[in-house]
Amino acid sequence: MKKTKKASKAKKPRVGIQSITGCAGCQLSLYFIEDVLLELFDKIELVAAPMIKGKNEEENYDILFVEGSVSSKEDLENLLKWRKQAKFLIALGACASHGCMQSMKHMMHEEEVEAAVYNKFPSDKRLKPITAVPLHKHVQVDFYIPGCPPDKEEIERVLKWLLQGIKPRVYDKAVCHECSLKENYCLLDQGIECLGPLMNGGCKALCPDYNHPCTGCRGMLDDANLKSGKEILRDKGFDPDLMIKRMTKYNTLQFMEFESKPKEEKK
Amino acid sequence: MGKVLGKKRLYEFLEKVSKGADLIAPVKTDTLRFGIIKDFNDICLEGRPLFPLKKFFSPAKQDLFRLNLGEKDEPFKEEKIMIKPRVIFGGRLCDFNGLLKLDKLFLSEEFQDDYYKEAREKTLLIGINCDPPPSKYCFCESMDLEKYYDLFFHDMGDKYYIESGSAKGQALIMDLEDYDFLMPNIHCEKKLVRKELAQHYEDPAWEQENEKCLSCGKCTSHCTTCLCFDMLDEMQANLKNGKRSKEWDSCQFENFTLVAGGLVFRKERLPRFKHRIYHKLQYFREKFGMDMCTGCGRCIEACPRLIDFTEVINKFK
Repeated sequence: MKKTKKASKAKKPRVGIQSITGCAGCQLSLYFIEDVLLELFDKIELVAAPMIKGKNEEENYDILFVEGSVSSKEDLENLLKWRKQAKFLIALGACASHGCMQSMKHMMHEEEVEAAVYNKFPSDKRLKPITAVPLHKHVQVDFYIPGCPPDKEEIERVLKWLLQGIKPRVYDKAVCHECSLKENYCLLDQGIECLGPLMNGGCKALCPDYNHPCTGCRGMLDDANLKSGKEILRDKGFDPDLMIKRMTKYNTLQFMEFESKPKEEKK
Repeated sequence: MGKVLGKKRLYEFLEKVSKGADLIAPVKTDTLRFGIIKDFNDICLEGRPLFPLKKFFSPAKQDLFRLNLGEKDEPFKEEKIMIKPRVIFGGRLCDFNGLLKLDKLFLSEEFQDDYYKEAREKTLLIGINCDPPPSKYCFCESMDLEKYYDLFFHDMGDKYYIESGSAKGQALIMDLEDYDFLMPNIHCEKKLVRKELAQHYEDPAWEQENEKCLSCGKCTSHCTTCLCFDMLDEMQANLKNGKRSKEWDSCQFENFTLVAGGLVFRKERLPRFKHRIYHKLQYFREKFGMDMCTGCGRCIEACPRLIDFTEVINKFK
């Protein structure tokens, strides 16, 4: 027993970051943990990190972060390949967790979107997009770190938990909770269209803290009461179209799931 | 018999009692909050802050102690408790009764929260009477509040009538002028009809309000007495040293009742919605012989849908 412990101690866990369609800002947030980056990277073997490494390995990940949404055939091939090589796969950021802005086109006709963007390059076949979806629509995802961009402290925390062998915990409390702990003057009371009551927190209510309404970059609450949420916004006289746009900015797929089968209160 | 203090001498009085201590009072910036006063002119006694006083006794996030793994002799080193003496001015009777309920919890004979105790002992409570009630959601008249304060002010136009509620408070107003006056009681328009809640657990009135509930947790974070918390262990990058902290949680969230093995025993919204009110008005009473609710109406005012549990209870037949 003791020996195996020692052996595993000598071998550092192989950690990788891989990227599919997205802005790569999530990967960047990981490097923002400057204060502890070197100390933490000392405990792992960083085998893949395209933004900071020239040579990136594609095999045997103990922990793999994947950012971006699956938006092209190439993305899907890569993701399936990485999944097979990864023991623990983490969806990093809003694209990987919820689809983010790429998935907005679910609300429109595919041809319409494609014509608007790709008609200029009819000959380039590489630009054939597929429906943009978050990772869990194609592969099993072991943990999510949502957010656009994800909170660097959360990335650090999750990585430390995994290194300690602790099952990571997702923050699943509403934005309103953190916002009221900060004693912010409620934006809804000020007549600003904030989506805090429907959205997952963990961001320390960063936007409402600066008087900017929440648009839900960390996804909707699992048990978001969309019907009641819409009623608040209607009662306050906000523009319903604008509200739908806000709600679907990051979470089109979640929004559509809620709409198609509103969660019944089970008894 | 109480004492009287001219309004012009208020700041002078506050300066005297808060010497060497932080003075905490409602301050109006974008909205009203309890804060530490630097300039007496910032004190605002109109209306009551939507945010409760509990943060001064058990902050939203509080570090409890350091963890040092691997050191066998002393794994936990207790952090020194460092709280300055404080004077709270301008709290309402509901605010102070909220502290009374928290005292029951955190200063019980069985379990004591040292941090809370320290904060509580170093705080002097100076309240102000509500005449008229500061919010249309107030219903404290129905809640049998106790006279729980060191000093209590009543606004009489150009002067304050002051009553003391403790020996500590009495000593502070010794040299003020005596005054004969009967402190008026608070009268709220809103009422809560007291009922035996246990018989109404399945009442359909619950469901109507529950449909509006967003489970956002604003009711609990604004409550004067809600103090459920979550424990978090966080290690430094060396994975050897770290700290344990506690953070406010809320029974309104789906995973609040998550236990080892993955069971969530209040998964649906309805039992969560009821739980808060049953805790306030039934479970706490069974244990401590008083209601946990102080009737401050903050949970109603803070709710994005203005869900009013008093109306639910008043509807019961």
